[in-house]
Amino acid sequence: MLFVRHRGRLGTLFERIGYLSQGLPGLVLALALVFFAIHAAYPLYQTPELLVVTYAIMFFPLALVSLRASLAQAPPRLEETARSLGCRPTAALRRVTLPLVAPGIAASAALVFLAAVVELTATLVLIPTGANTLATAFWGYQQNASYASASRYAIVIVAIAAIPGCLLQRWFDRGQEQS
Amino acid sequence: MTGLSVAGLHKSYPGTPVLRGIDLDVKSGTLTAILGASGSGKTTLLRVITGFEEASHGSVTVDGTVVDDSRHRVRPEHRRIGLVPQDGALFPHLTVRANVAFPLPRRDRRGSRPDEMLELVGLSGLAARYPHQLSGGQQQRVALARALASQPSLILLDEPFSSLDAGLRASVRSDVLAVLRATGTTAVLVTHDQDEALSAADHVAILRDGRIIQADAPRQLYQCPADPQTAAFVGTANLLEGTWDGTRVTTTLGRHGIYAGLQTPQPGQVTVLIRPEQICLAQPGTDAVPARVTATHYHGHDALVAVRPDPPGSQAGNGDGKELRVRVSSDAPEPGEFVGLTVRGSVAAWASPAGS
Repeated sequence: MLFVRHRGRLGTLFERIGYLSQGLPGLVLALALVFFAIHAAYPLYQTPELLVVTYAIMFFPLALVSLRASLAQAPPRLEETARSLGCRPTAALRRVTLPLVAPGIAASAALVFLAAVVELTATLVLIPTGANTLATAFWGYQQNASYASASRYAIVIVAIAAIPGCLLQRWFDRGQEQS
Repeated sequence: MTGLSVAGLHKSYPGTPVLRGIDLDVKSGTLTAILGASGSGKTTLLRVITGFEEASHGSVTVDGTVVDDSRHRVRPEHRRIGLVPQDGALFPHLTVRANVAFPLPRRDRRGSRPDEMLELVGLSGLAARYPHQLSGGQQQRVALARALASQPSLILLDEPFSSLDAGLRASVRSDVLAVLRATGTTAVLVTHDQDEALSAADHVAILRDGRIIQADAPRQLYQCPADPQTAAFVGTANLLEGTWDGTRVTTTLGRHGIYAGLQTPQPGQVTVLIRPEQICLAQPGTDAVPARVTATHYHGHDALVAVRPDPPGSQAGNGDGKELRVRVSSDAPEPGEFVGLTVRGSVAAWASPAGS
């Protein structure tokens, strides 16, 4: 939020770096992190935590783009108006800005969630031995040509993708009527 | 009783002074318009009064309470200033009623106050609508109801009518003014529209280059502006060179009295203001000054006629042939026609800048 409202040189730089990670292939990022974990943070190697960090780096730009769009829904002017009407800064945030950006935050969370669920390349590299995500499980069975077993995971992935989609759709429809 | 008092207010951003010593007093229950071109510091002045910007020097006092001086500042939410922003700035996720109830303490939001306010602005039927379902004028009236709901000491209107189209503007403006007068609210209207300022306000303050050039009643301001630049800003102005002999002023158009109460210049060369409606068209050949019509701008309710006076060759020194504008209410002459000009009423005059 700070990046969008207060555009400084540092903020812009940080944001650009964030976008860069979107441009990198997942495999490159994953190998870089493996290298980093082995040499600099060995306890992290082969842990689920490292996988989460990877996802955070990979999907940060995705979250940023959709957050930026939703923050445009709540210009600072509305917050100022709220303050002139007697709201403390925290109350203005709670009563005006949050309700306006909440759908956007939910949407970006859902987008990132979906992308993380189906992410495969970086996951294959970084997943702790013996553990599986839906995508790696699907990949494993599919590699062995066990299409029947693989299809179970595929169905779960599709179902998970559909649920937030439906919820968001309903939310946006309601938002459309209001704004 | 002073509703708003601004004294010696300075505001600079790094390297650029924006406000350079503003002094302004608004009497309780009156409406003062701050009239300024864009870039004159209007917005900054408003933001300092509301508390979104800090004054560099000077003080702001609202209803007897100092809200900003060099020592302490009151936060915007405690200043009891109702703001009506440019395009209303209604909260899009709230209904009209919830918008009006917004400034009230939680226990009063379900009470009758929001409905009373909506009735006051004539929008009782729209309580359940959302802002995007309202017209621009309705949004402005809701914004006013919202600003008035918590009974502020002062209402600030930030160019509230500029986004409305011309026909709507006049009616929304008169509705809003009626509400302000009915509630006896002290109000400051910031605008760049001189018609709006002159017709709506009890007092008009001219803001230019971060200073208040003049603050007067509209009539005084229009007839006796502080300087030629102000004269041209608050209306159409014919500025003529003239000679002031201590009792009368002589211009191309004859001899005129000057307004009483005006600071009289030293005898000598003066710049004279003659408003377009002070000049009458007469038949040429009488004691009127002959002139030729060069253009006619028809406005419906009146017409602005551009004329070039053509005094008899004898007065060659005065006949600068400068184009003048004359307002006529009917039967505007065609370009090329010859007319006579007479001036009625008194004029305003300032000493000419040295060397001209």
